[in-house]
Amino acid sequence: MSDIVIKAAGWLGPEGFGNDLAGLANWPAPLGEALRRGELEELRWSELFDSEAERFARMDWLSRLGLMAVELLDARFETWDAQDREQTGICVETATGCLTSDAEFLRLPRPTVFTYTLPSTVIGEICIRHRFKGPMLCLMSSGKSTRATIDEAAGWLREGSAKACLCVSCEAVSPDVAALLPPDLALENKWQACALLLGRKSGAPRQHALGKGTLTETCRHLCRAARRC
Amino acid sequence: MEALVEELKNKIIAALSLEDIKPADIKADEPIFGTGLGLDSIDSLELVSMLERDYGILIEEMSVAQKAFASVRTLAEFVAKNRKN
Repeated sequence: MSDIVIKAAGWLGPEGFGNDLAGLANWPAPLGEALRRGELEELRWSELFDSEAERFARMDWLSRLGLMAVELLDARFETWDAQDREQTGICVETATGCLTSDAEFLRLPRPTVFTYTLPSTVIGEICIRHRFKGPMLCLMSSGKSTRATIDEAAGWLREGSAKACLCVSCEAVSPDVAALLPPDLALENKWQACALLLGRKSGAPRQHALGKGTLTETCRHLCRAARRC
Repeated sequence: MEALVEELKNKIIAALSLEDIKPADIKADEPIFGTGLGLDSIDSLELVSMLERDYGILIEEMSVAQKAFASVRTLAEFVAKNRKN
């Protein structure tokens, strides 16, 4: 794996949010208390970013969290030009996928909810905002975060089908859906999202070696280890 | 009619989760689609669904929808004339 490095990382979950440059920050109270209870509707784009995110409030929570994790990473990665973006691939892993949207659609079928009853929709929302046009993969995992997306992304980078690749792990389960999850689905959190940007090793500063941790572990470790902590 | 116009503005905002839009931002006589609201084809389906759910109005022809959704005022006139509940 030594030829592949981590160029940037972004993470958000009940504990806080951050990236590998700024470190992890705690949510301000009382938002933090609401988020620890799983009340995601309290989390708005403007809590984290000065930029605009068109249609953000109309997305499902899987897409919102995935988009936020990539934005946290993007804020850190300053040298990402348009050409890089066109050749950027994306691998998403999720255990719970679109279950929350599925449940909402079953309660009240609506076209705007139906569009989010596919777990891969988060990839579409991220690619629309960031103009990524490389290969894409959505992997339904069995629970805990894995290295499957990292291995897939490394393969794309080595064979040249992507110049950079995002690995995103995303879970967004509403409290009522969480109560219905099978007990053997060992989620770390009912909601969280993280993103790693992988690329070939270069002379650019602030590259991280790719360790043996899972996607989520690696993101959180890099964000915790950054200077704010 | 003005009360129905205001009711529909609120329903459009709620149905489409237009978080940053207030009823006063929606002009009653301006086109609903193709303006600053940034609505798309899925939103049009959502509004058709809302009419059926809240007013019992079933729209089956595109030409009917195009006329009804020309503006909030034309939509209010259409609802007043065709509502079942």
